[in-house]
Amino acid sequence: MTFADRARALLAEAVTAYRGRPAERRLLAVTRHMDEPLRVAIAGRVKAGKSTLLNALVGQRVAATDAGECTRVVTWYTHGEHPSASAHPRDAEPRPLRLEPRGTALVLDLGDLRADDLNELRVEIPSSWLTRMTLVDTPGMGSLSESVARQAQEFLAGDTDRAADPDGVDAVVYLLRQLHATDVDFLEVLSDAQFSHSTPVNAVGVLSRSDEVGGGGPDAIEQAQRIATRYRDDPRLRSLVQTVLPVSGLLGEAGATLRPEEFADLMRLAGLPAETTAPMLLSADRFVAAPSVPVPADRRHRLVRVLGMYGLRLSLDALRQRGAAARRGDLVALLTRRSGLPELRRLLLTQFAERRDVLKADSALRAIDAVTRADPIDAAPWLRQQVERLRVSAHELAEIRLLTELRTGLVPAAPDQLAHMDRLLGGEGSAVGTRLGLPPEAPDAEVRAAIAASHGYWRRVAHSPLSEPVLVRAAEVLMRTCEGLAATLPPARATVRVAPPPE
Amino acid sequence: MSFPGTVIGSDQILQLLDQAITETNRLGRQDLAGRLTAQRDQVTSGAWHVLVAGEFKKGKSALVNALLGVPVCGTDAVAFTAVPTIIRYGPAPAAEVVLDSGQRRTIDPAQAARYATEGAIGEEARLESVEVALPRELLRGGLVLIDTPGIGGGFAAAAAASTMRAMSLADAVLVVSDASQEYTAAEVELLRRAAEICPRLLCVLTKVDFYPEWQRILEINKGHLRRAGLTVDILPVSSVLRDTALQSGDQPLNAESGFPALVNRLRAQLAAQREAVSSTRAAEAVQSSLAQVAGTLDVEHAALTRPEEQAATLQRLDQARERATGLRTPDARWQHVINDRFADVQSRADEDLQARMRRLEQEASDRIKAGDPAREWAEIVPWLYQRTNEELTDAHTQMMKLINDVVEEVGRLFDGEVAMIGQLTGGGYQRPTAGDGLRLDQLSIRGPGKLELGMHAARGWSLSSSVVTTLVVATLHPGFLVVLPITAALGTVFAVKAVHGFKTARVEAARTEALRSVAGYLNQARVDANRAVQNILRHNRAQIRDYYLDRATELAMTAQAEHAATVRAVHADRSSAQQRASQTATDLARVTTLLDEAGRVRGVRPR
Ligand SMILES: Nc1nc2c(ncn2[C@@H]2O[C@H](COP(=O)(O)OP(=O)(O)OP(=O)(O)O)[C@@H](O)[C@H]2O)c(=O)[nH]1
Ligand SMILES: Nc1nc2c(ncn2[C@@H]2O[C@H](COP(=O)(O)OP(=O)(O)OP(=O)(O)O)[C@@H](O)[C@H]2O)c(=O)[nH]1
Ligand SMILES: [Mg+2]
Ligand SMILES: [Mg+2]
Repeated sequence: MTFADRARALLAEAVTAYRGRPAERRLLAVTRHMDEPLRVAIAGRVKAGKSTLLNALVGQRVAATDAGECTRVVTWYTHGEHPSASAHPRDAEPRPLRLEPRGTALVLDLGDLRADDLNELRVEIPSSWLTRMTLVDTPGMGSLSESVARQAQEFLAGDTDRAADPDGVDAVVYLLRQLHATDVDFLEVLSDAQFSHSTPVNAVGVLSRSDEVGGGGPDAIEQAQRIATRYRDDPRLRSLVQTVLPVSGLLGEAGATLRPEEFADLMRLAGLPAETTAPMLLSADRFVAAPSVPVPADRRHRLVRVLGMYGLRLSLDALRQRGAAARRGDLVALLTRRSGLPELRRLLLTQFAERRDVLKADSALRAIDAVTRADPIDAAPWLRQQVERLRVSAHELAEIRLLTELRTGLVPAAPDQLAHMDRLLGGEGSAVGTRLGLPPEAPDAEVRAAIAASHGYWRRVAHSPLSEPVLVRAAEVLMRTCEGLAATLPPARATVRVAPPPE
Repeated sequence: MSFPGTVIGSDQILQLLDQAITETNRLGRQDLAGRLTAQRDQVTSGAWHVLVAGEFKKGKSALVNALLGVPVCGTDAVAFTAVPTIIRYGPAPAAEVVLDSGQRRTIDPAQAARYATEGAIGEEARLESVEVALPRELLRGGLVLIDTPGIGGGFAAAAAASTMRAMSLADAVLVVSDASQEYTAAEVELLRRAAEICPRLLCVLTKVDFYPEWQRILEINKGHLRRAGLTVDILPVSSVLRDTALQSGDQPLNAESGFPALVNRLRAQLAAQREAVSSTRAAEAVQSSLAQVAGTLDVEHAALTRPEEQAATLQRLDQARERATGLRTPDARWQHVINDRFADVQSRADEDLQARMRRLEQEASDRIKAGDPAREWAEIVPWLYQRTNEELTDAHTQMMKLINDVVEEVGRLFDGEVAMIGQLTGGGYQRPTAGDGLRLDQLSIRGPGKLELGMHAARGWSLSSSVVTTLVVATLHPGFLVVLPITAALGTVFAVKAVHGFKTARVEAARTEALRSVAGYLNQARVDANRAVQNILRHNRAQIRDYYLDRATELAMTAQAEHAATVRAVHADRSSAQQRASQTATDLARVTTLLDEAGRVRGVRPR
């Protein structure tokens, strides 16, 4: 039985134990969620670009974005055939809301509801991305508005008493803007991350708004890449997130939602002589205010808001180079590529979606644990014990713990050894090939050989009298990982036993 | 961009100073003329320190560069400014780095930007600051710009205490934020605290070229300031537009960059400060110098016209001279008082710091022992930073108050001596004493705030001895404005997550580790603050002593001059005595007119 199966079984027992009690509803909800898409929260400081990134991922402007403070209520976005939305007040029954199309955007009408009175909002829209993961937009931390800051804190702290939010989220995307190592914000981000039980397995970091790094010069994205690399090397971040990617939500959103008439306007502008456009592109104000331009000022204003100055310069440059042959699809591709969104998508799919069962199972255990504490019935201690046993015995969780230890420098090993361990534990992706550092098309024979070599190596380490106890434990986990990997190989090849290590 | 050395409203005072310089020279008092000349320099180009502060990467260094039109500060998308750069006027470009050992080393000015971002000379030494002199018109009027490393997290940031200290000593502060988003809670908090201790705040909103919505951000920020009860203006600027404009000579673009408005604003503030403070002090200097000259003329006139009093006068003048000379010896009471009191302040400040840090360590250790520090570390650190900043800022204010008291005491003592000598010389001339009647609240533009007193001591606007401290301020070394974070920052101390989730043995280990790093941090905070205390005390002590020594010397010279004049009168024959008497009467009339004018200037000055 896999870890996920056992967690499911335990969950069923918990449901029975709590039958007829308020917690039953919650546990049933958790059970349902086990089969639903992964729930991924987009979190970060106020104005980090969370809603914009969500839109970029979904491929539609569904979350409101604004220069002023904006997202005030936790909002869940799930896949549904028809767009619909509902509000979940703190002290009243949920009620449906209107979701009005306005231009390329869908606008949620709160009516007479006040954001402060709401627990959360739920939005359903057709989106292929949302079939793979439910996204949760959160209010920003560090807001000047008390209630917004509190909402964010409560949500990420996994305030599990809230009925509508029984098991919190399974994974988190943290948006960071450029921070300094002594930045208190930085610590707060870490603190938030800790609260929400993030581990290098269920959390990734995003250096957001990458197009404005260094004041949005032509090399902004490259500079952002450098900053993200630094973050990746920061031991504190490594202990909390798998990696950090630079992403420009704005470019991604523009790429996903660029309208044909916007493209036409861009083409018209790109057709103007450089002497006309160069002074216009000095500043956003100039771009909008320039007189006698074949695109009206209000449409230019929209363009610069949609693309930002970096995106605008990038687009006009590219279109001018292509000339009349330029196609909308090419520009969309360029914007998307620069946004860093494809890398983020890949990461979310390989790192989160691939581990869905483990992440879900872990969420379920957390929920059982919380329920037994909130409502300590007779069976509660036994249930908690089972949770603990499952946690200790689950190899999947042991891997996650070890990965965390590796990244926090708790395992005494040489750098290349550490890198090897990190990869084997799924630090770069949990596919078998990725773990072994092999290309996806590697033949089975090669995969088996690699597994055997690894297994042998870690066995030697585990048995060496020179290894420190911590390293010995790590090596034992890694041996089991190798055994697990071998077990995933097709049955015909499973007969090939793990070769004894070349001594 | 012209930035005339003289400022509006100071023409009158400069004329007065020039006339007084001529008078004192003509009447043989080159020493007084020298003092007045120094005062004149003060009015035209006395240092005016403007600190540029704000969160990381908001465009502080770019702002300084754009103001000056030279890339003197390091700006970079990735690398952070590590140490402050202090930029003042100089006839030719020159630069030095100050090592953390206090040593100075000359560097190529073109490399200043690199040193400020690296913050070190290779592996060899860490830097404390970079100092640059540039022949820029903008700086000629005395403006000194100080680019600082950013702080993150407002008052809870590791560097906040030193920033506060620097702000309390600066003449004005530009608080920089960019148009990418409205103020955060931390930024408003920092602004609120800054407004408490800093005389002139001006907010700057940078990067307006890049953000189409900058005007909305500006409006939202104004709202935040209003709600925080702050009446501070926000000026929008774009350093990028400014640079382009300066390169191409594009005037409209320059105007769009917002920099001409910022320059005007700085100029106006400088002028206002000059008018409010320097001019008053200059008028005072004119009064006190001319009063001495007038006294001498008066004595001479009396000796010439009433020869019967000559003998008694000479005797009195001998006494006066002796007393004045006595004031210059190390045994003079005021000198003892300075030494004793400053030693006293030093030990009280040390004790105060120590007690505060001990208390803080206790608080921190209680907190650590009560919970699992590995779990709570990310909360403990900002809390500890914030508490440390509060304690250090408060300690700094307390010390400034003590210094203020000492300055006042010494001033009173000295004034007493002067009054006594004045009675002895008794030319019937009422000498204004060093700092009479000039009240701080008349000088101050704003109402008194919590930290007002300390600040004024630092800047030298002490209550009763404003004149004294003119020099203290004028010569305040910008090194005191250096903003450096405590290097033993806590953030990196241990891997937050590492210990998370493990059992008791781990928690114990984490506590030990946490206690150790907290102790290390607090110790360094204390050492750094101690160093600042010593610097400030040393500087103040030296300046005050020098000031009064000069005054004592002047007094001795005056007594000497009066003595000589009387002796001359004794030996004068009848006709030359008459001639001399009418000459002194004319001189005296002229000097008195000037004195009246100085009195008028001083009288109208305070608003
Ligand atoms: N240049 C640039 N601007 C961005 C990017 N992402 C967001 N923004 C802008 O930043 C502002 C805030 O974006 P949002 O997506 O609303 O940010 P948020 O984190 O959801 O904000 P709150 O919900 O208020 O905390 C908007 O004006 C966006 O246009 C980006 O990648 N590049
Ligand atoms: N577009 C634009 N970019 C700017 C402006 N001012 C600064 N920048 C850019 O913003 C980045 C940071 O600028 P700096 O001047 O180094 O910022 P700082 O506040 O001094 O940064 P630290 O001292 O490291 O905290 C640089 O890449 C600058 O080019 C501006 O007005 N417009
Ligand atoms: Mg939002
Ligand atoms: Mg800088």
